[in-house]
Amino acid sequence: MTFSTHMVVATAVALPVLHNPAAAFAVGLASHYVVDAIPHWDWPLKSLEKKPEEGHFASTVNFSFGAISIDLLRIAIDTSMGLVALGVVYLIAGHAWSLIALAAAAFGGILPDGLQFLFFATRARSRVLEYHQRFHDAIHTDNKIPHTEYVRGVLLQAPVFLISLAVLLFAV
Amino acid sequence: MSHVTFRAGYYLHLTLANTCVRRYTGITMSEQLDVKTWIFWMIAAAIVAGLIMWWAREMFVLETDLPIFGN
Repeated sequence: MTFSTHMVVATAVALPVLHNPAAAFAVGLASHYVVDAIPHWDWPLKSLEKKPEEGHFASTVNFSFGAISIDLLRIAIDTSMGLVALGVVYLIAGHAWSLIALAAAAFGGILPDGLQFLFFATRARSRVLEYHQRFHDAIHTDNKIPHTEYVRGVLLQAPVFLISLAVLLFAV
Repeated sequence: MSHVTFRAGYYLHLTLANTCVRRYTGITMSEQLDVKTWIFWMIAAAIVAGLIMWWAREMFVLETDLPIFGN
């Protein structure tokens, strides 16, 4: 799922512990794997391409200035959408929440994708990251909506985002 | 304790995904995504997310904490 969705879902699942940064982080992290089991769409990375047909964990990297710039821009836009949504929710309903815990939950929600990137982007692959990658792949849906079908992808991801926002706004 | 919980959750998820789903619903991972499949996974994820929320509340929310989530 996109970063913004993961951030909002992580915060929603961590709602009961949004006063405890460590617990919020752990719950946010766990939520990542849960929602990745739902068939979904992701925007593609320009700098990294997985090649499952060429072997398990096979990938090619392209760390050109253009590819990195486009990826960073997409990450910034995606993350900003999550931050704006969480900011609005915090202002409306977050009077009892710790901002650090909220940030920890959101960070935990997107960390597995960062670890995944680290695993695929490094040549000397860490065993810890490999174990994580196997765990991530085992849970991650194989029903991935093709990158080009972004309208369908966004439409199917919007309910996850909106339901999580509703939980944050109305479940307190 | 947390390690045991983690392992239990991991295997429970794998069991659900790899055995129950394929055997009893006929849904396979390589199938073209349809709405039924998507709804199934949405509900499954919501249930697991709810269980995590309940577990987190039981584990980390003390009676002295601020009133939140019906506590």
